[in-house]
Amino acid sequence: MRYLFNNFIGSAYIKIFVALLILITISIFSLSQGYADIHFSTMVKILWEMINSNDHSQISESSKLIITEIRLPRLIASIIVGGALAYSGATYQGIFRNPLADPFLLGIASGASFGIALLVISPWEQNLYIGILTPFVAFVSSGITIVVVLLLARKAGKFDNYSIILAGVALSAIFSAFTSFILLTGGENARPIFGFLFGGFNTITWLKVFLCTPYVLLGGTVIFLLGHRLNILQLDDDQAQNLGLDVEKTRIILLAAASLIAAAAVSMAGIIGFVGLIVPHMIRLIVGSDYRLLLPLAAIFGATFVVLTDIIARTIIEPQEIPVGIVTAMVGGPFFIWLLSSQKRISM
Amino acid sequence: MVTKSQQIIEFRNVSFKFKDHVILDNISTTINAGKVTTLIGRNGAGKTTFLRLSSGLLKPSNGDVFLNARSLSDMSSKERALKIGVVQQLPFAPDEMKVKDLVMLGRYPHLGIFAQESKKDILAVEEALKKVECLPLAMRTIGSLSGGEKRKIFIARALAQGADIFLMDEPTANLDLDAQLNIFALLRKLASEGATILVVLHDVNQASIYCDKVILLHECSILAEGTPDQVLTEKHLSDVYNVKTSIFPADEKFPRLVVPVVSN
Repeated sequence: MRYLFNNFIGSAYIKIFVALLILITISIFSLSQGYADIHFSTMVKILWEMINSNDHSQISESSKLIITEIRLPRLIASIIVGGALAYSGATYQGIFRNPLADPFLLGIASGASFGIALLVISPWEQNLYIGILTPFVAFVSSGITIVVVLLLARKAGKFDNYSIILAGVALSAIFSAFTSFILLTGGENARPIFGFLFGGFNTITWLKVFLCTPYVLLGGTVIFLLGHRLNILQLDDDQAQNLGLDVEKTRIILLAAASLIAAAAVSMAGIIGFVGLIVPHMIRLIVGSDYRLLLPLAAIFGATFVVLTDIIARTIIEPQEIPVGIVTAMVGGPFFIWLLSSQKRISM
Repeated sequence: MVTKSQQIIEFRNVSFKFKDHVILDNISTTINAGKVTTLIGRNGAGKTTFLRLSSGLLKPSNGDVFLNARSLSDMSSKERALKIGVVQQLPFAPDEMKVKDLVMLGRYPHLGIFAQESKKDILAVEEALKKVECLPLAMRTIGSLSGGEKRKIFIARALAQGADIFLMDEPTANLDLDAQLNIFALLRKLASEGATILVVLHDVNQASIYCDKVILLHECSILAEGTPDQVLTEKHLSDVYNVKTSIFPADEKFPRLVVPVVSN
């Protein structure tokens, strides 16, 4: 029997496999990049020893430490954060049928970082418990932000694409101002907040990775299971309901899941803007807007994009380092302007 | 695909209010399988509300709507989707979406947890597209279709859905004459295979020619229902539209025609 249409799954697996290969290649390259000059073969040996729990080689302790305690957690964090930001961005775009939706432009990232700033200057001792609590507080404050954005943008029961973004950008400005205020008046205790305003990975530790990753996995699993419903949400709500989708419930669950992973990403690396905007848009241009493929590819290329920008951030003015958030803003800002000016040509 | 199962929609004393404004009042009627039933009436007579109540999208303020004696409100949206296919008047779909993908969305109520489409689903989409004679359009994008083609693709999606009931809001509005005839031919074919079809129409002659049953809505209730001959009379049309009409009975050359009398 001959089928006219290719089975979706077969070709999708190949694309996802190729995307993963690209990510792995760039990740390995990333481990060999940095101020300390560690040869590629040495780096591979260190990783090999790490996997085999064998440390009888002649490699210096400092090289080992740089790879296993600095570069590797940093790489893993940039993969998780990049993946989370693009994954949540693509999800927001699907939920709102809005190609401009992104955790940064919706104010969610700033809302989350404001919540974290409050936690940082709280009278409680900064310990492991507070560390575990950080992504949760970020999630709650980003949840409050998105509710306020939606209330502000709601017109006659509907959400206009531009109103959502305007409300998001306005709230983002307000939260950033408050966060800066806390930073400037909070004294020495408030110093870590600086890292959240200009997102980056220079303070990443394995502990931070372990504390935030479960939240990303939880939200990511929910989106993985329900993400295909975003295809139906691209139609109007009446059609979606007539096709058997519980529209309100699906939107709320996906919104919560996307906000959870965006908040966890902010908890790990601060505000890294535009990743959730640029990456899903590029993927859409290449593979179309089937969310079953768009979502996993957005996650993989989001990770690749942030790993790459992190390489740029720490090598472009060596030995100094610039926050990754600045690099993504330099790329993302002009991209956002281009997207705004070409909005007429864009539909979801 | 259309099965032999007979799906009957029944309205029992259904009223619908929106913010204290009565839209439909105490409606009781049945929509039978194997027939094309049409709703006609003035703008604002409640035709679209009637259709939305029939699909379960709206819940009656009073009374209930039943599908084979089971209340629609007791059915999950997925259960309803397996039985009822709806084609709205101006449904939205992204321009760049491929025809096959749009029709495949009709398979959503059938898909498993990862929404992986099986060969069965692909076959259902192919068959639905064949039935509306649009298989060659499968790989085209929605944005590249004509109005008539688009309408057919949405009907194909309802077919792929596996529905036995088709609810359509003005399926021929703004279409060229040939496209209108195509759509009616398709509806007649589906009805002859046992489907339950309810369409909202504005054109009384289309109702007269292509439909088995006419429900004439006026001032929130049913003014008349029955065969086109029984319902589309000079008196009823004058009561509803304030227009004088002449009815030309069918003969071997022409179908029954309703012609408004234009006074100079």
